[in-house]
Amino acid sequence: MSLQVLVNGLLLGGLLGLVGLGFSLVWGILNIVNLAHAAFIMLGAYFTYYAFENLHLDPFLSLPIALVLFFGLGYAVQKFLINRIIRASLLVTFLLTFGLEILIVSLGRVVFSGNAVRVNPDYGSASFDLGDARINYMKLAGVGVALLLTYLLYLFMAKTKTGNAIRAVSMDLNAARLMGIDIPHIYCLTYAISTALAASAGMLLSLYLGTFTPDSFGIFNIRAFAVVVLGGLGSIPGAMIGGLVFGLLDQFAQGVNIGNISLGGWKEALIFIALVVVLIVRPTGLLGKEGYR
Amino acid sequence: MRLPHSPSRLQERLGWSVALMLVVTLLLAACGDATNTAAPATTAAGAVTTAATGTTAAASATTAPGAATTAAATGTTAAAFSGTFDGTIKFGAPLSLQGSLLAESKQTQQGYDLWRDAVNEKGGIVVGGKHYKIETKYYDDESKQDKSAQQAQKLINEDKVNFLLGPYGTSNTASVSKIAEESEIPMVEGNGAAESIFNQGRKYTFGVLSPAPKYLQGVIELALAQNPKPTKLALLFANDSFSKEVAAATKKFAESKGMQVVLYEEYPDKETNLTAQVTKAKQAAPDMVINSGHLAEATAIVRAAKELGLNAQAFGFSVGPGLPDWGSSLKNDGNFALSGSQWTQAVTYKGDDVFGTSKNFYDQFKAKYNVEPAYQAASGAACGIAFQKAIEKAGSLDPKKVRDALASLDSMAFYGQLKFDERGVNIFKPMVVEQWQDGKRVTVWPTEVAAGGKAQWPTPEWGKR
Repeated sequence: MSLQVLVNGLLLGGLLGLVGLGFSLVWGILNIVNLAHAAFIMLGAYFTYYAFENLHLDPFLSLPIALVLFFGLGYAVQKFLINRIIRASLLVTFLLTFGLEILIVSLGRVVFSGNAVRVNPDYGSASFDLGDARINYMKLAGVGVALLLTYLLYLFMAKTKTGNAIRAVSMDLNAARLMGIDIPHIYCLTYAISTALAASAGMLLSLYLGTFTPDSFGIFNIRAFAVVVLGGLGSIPGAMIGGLVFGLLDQFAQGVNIGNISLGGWKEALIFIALVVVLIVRPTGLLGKEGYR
Repeated sequence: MRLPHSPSRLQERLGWSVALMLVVTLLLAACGDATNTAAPATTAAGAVTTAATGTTAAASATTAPGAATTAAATGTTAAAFSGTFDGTIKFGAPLSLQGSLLAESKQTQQGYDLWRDAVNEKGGIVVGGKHYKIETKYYDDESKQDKSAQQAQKLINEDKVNFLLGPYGTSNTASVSKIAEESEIPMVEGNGAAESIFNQGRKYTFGVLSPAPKYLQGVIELALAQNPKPTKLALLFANDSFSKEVAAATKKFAESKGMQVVLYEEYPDKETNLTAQVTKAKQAAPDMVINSGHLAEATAIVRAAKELGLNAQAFGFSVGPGLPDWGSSLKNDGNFALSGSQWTQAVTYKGDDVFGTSKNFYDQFKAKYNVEPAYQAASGAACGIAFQKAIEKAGSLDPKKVRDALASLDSMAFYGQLKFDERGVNIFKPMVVEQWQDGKRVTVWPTEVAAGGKAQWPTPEWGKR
């Protein structure tokens, strides 16, 4: 076992935590399995790409702009589409977000073309050595961004009135309504935050993937799902912990041999076996609270 | 306080949302269809311009109604072929017009289309003195193999195509091959090179490609002719059947030539992060790294190799450097990469087909689509050429006679020799090797058809490029 595998796992895990965070938020509070999440990740990645190629804007500098823009986009999507059917059965919201995913990815193919693109700043491969492990500055900064956003979201939810209102809605909808909380607005805010987080995950992924096309991101819905279930639904630190566990499992399965046998081809199976085990031992996920929803 | 979700309002809103989604979906579907069908329509127009001088343009009009009017409007242009078409031959293929195999699949379709237009312009396919216009029909299989099979069935039963052209990808080709066999409709394909397709004893599937075991042989042969000569090889491969087959054959070939395989690592198909595998490769300290996979994985390896400082005398890839996306996305980091290719624009075969030379094919392709053709496009055109030769040789459109003519075909095309063994595999054409040099693809192997290209060896370390 090498230190490099551990480093790779943590660098991937922080990113996956951010992928899961927005997904967890919407699922926990709106009770929607947001299948459009990966599509917003894709849009975030392409936003980063175009800002970088056409405006020569560094990915880390274009991120705040992306956060604001995608916050607005998410708010609009919730207000004009999802809020209209939010009280319908789970299947209907499921279908709507699934439709949105297909719509956005298909439009992406038309607008961005299916050609592979890459975001590669000059400092992209700069790294330092720690023991026998090599750590990439850009990916490390990416994990820093992921942790920062997670912490900011945690503070927002715990300390601000709006954050408390969001949590109140997730705990008891009727009580929250009786307290005078504007439920549709809270829903919009939640979805907007989730979309902004998806876009930031897209920005980090654009630095992580060799190249990408509009079709490269669908798999992150499934990964977000796994991260959230692992970490605990609706828990903010849980999403990050789930991401780190996922990332480490992923990299250990691929990076460490058992005897002479490599498990690389089996890693998806291993991760989902781990998922099932966690669900059996702790049905609420690693950090999930019983009855939080 | 508002109560936004009373039941009746909800139903109304639900209705609106669903209606909106439907409209948007329909619009999208319409756009999709337009792009798919636009190509045949425009080309039919091009072909019919020659027929407009005649009186039986109506015959063409029945098969391509929109096209005939366009032809009348554009007037008459003189061409080699001055008669009218006596009929049409329909070719059909499920292709990946969306989905993960888009880039490669698009080239395949463009190859088919270019062949169709070039032949139609010269009077179509001649069977017993009659000129037949080529028509093509494509469906989108979204890169899914069950869908390809379904659509092949539809092409045969509903669209009544005479012959099948191959879809993109090994698994999709395998599933269509089964349908071709059951329906006794010959299929010539140029994008499924796995031996597994051909080891089923089927009689109606022909592949113009050099088969998978040969894919990276050229890269190994080239490497062994260089100085310093590599001895330790790391092989990273995706776990789809094609990539595994290529990897196994490459390992066997390299070992038979005295190389030592220090890493033989499988990863999940379509994996986008190959840091773990590259880490393992770095620990094994190979002289040469070879990947058998796809574009996304190949670029992921380049990114990880640069980041983790994996250096080797050469990096070879089965798929990736052969596509224009390689240079446009990787830029300098894509240099020095080696790739086995079915065909390159530099190869100097002299064919007796509608294109004749690689240069001619390249020029026509570039003029029409404004991108460089990858081997997928040339393979596509070669499928058409094989069909054309076989149909003309059979003197019939009867599927069984055309099948027999394909089985005994031996023809030289711009693409290389078209000849099939008893399984339907083209084992007679060698693979070529290309290298990215200063942002351009240069054919460097085999020397006799490489038009003077020479490999840059060894690959400099990442910091010194």
